[in-house]
Amino acid sequence: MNLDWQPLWLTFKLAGITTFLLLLLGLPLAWWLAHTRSRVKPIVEAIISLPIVLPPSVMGFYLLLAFSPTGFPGSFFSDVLNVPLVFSFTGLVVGSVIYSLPFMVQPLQAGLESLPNSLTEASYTLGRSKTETLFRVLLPNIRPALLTGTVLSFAHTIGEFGLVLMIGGNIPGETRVVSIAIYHEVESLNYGSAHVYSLVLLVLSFLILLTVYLVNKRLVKTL
Amino acid sequence: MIQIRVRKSLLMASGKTELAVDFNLEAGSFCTLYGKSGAGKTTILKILAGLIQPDEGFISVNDEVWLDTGKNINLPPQKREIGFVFQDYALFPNMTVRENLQYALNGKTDKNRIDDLLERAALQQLAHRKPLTLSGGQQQRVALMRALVRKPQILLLDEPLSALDLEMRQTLQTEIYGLHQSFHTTTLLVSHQLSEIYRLSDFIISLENGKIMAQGTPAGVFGRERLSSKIQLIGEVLSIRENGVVYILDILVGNNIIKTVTTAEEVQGLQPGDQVKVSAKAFNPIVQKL
Amino acid sequence: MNRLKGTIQAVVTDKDISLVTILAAGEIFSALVIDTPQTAGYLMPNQEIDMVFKETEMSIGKNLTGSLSLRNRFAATIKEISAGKILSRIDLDFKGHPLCAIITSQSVVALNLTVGDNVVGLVKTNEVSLMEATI
Repeated sequence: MNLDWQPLWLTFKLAGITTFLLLLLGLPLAWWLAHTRSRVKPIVEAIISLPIVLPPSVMGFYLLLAFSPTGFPGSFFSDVLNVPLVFSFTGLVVGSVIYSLPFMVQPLQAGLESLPNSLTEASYTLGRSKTETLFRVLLPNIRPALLTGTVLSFAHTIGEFGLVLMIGGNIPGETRVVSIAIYHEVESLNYGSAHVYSLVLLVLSFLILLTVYLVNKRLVKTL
Repeated sequence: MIQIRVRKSLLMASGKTELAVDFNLEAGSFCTLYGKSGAGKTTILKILAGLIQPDEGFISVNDEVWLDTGKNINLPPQKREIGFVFQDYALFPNMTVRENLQYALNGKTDKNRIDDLLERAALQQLAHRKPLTLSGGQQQRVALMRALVRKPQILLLDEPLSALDLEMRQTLQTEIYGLHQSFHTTTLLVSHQLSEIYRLSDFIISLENGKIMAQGTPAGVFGRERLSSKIQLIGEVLSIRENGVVYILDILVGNNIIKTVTTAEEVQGLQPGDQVKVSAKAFNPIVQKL
Repeated sequence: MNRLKGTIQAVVTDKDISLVTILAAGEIFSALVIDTPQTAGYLMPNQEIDMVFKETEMSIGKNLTGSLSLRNRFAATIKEISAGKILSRIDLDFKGHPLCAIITSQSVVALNLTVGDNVVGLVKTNEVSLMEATI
């Protein structure tokens, strides 16, 4: 059996980049949600959580329309940046970030909200800025939430199927991630390759989750 | 001298009230804000610290203006030289005791100060421990020392001892008193514990519904009349029972319950939960060795 | 608590204890306090002072003869008697000042106290507290 390893590599590249971007985007968003008293907070929360309830095909359909060179931000990406969003790796990254956003934001927000306000206030009265407070006081004390958010986002991106199929299609080396590859192999009756891909994903997912639970237990203890 | 004049409408559990206070603190004094919960005590501390914004106000500390809403001056908490001790200690769980104190250091502060403060509070042995492994009293001691690292102009204590048991509370009262004696940091304490107030403060501001009801020395505010009686105890009325022409009062003083006989006039307007002063002549008690 | 306004006549001090002589409503009273002119500035002659003593520390005498160690004794009239099972409350008029004594009901019967009686109020010197006069 001649197995193509590229889908696996592509999958982890997609999940890695997506998770990294989600950390950058999710942290300030979670901090804002945890601290704001704005009236638009529930609206923002609802929008962020949409991917949890919507079928991936619905998300995918709208993203496909938005990403297409005639939609927005698709036109901006293809005309100005010269990077098409549909049927491209970049498009998959943008779609995955949106799709996995709640899995990063929700644990972080819950973690930040669980910290007493007095920690922030104490840090301010000790002369420390908001940024210092976030990185030296708040984040170290929500390590379990950070880990949960990171791993869930990563794992959720690995597990994407419907959305990738809608906006990425099945282009080898560009958008053919493992979940798509498995579907493709089964359709082509290559059960052997499908088995290997599936087993790799199964074992990896189990190991990731096991690590999270083990590490979280230890983190909680050392706090 | 510290001048505070602030106004803010508050939404309390009891409904809308307006906080409007205007008072001065002598530099080096120990002042207590006294009042029922919801009177606005903590809000005043947080406004002083810059953690809550008043609707309008003016705060100046030793001739430096921290807040003047008329002139759009409003120093952020980081720029106000304050030490704040929170009711829940607010120690950073991820840092050791020493790291908690070091966090307060800035370029100007002498590094030896951390060791001095740790030694002062007898915390050297615990310096490498994480706060959550310490007892409540030890945690509050760390919080106190942390608040003093930056040599604040004002030390703000928000019911710092309320979560502690009686014995620890009394030990820490002595320590707070000692710290104030040696550093002379202007201190503003929030408390509704009369014994604590009597022990620590030389000035009291009594608050009710966001307004100052009385201010002055503890004796001036609470005991307008100074009896020569040598046994004077502050306690809380537990029960009032009518007994013929007299009444029997159970009063909790420290962790002892004492009983007193009073007349109808004395119990008038008194109800369980009220704080009272109990005075007796020095000639009455019988003393026995235990 | 009973309260009588008076003026200090003399203060005799021995170490920590002072015996204070007070003129109130034309009668001489004395109070024993653990204070000296040094610890309590108001302990000086001609100072206005409030004497305070507990109702239960006051005794009543009627047709008194013989000697008694009690220094504070003054003539008063019974205005009202409220009798309880064990204790009774005697409201007195002392030269226009209301005073009150709480004594056993047995004594009320034994002394045959009735409203309008002229009696002697008695208070031990060590039961009298002093308070700076209130305006």
